[in-house]
Amino acid sequence: MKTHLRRFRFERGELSQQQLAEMVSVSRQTIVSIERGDYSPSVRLALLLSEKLGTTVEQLFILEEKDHA
Amino acid sequence: MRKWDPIFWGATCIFVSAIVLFAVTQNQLWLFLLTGSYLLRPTLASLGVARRLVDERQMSIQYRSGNIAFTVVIITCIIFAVVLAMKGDSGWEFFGMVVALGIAARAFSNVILIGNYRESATRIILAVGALMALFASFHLGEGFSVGSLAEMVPGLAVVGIGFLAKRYPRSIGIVVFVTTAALSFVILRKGFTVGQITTALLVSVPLASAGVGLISGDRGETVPRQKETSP
Repeated sequence: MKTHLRRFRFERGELSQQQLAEMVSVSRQTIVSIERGDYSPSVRLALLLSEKLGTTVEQLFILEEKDHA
Repeated sequence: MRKWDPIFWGATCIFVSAIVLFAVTQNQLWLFLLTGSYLLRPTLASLGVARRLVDERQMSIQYRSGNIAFTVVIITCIIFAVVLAMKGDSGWEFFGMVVALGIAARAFSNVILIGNYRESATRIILAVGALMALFASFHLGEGFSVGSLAEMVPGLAVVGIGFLAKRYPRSIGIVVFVTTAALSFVILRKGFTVGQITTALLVSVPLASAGVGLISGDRGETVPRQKETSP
């Protein structure tokens, strides 16, 4: 799964990973893992992130070819 | 990242208590309390008591590491049990109880969390039967005889009941209750010792729970249950 979290984080007033983590009540490491593609967030967290970044889940997370297998 | 939340302070209290009690009594057994401080957060989160205080990725990691740790503990207990049994030391039964307790606790958790009572019940019955047969087979090491072979029969019969439970859940649910009562009677007939009572509990509690699961059906079952068919 591809994510544009990092790009949206910067577009939303240069938010730091720590600031975003606190906004959605998770650890900074979780934001790092999501941005690196190591962790797929739950539906709840994905919705929270998109809400805080003023976008939609579909714009924030994109399925890749390998995810369809 | 350090979390200064109630769980942190609870774990700190347990940690300090362990050290103080050890210092005062000079009994190393108090140091086992340290595991409590380490396991407090994942345990509370797993029980659903403190979900808000645990990050979802950390929880996912805790589940995975917990599963690995569980497997390691069970395999270690089985190895110790086999080594002691081969030496003729009856202490292997203690490790056998730990294995049974661990498997039973895991099975119970599955039943409650998944809500798939019938499938879980079938697995519990198969696991209990397999373990009964496995532990009975240890007596074969003392010399092969019809008597020692016969001790495996109840376990294998329970496994057979487990397979039938998939096809006739409600009928087998009643059979499981009768079997549980019979097994408890047979086990306790050998004497009301701590070992026998523990064995009876380890066999009867999971089986009785499986019986309840088979009869009650699955949670959230919306389609009408099909009438059981004969083979």
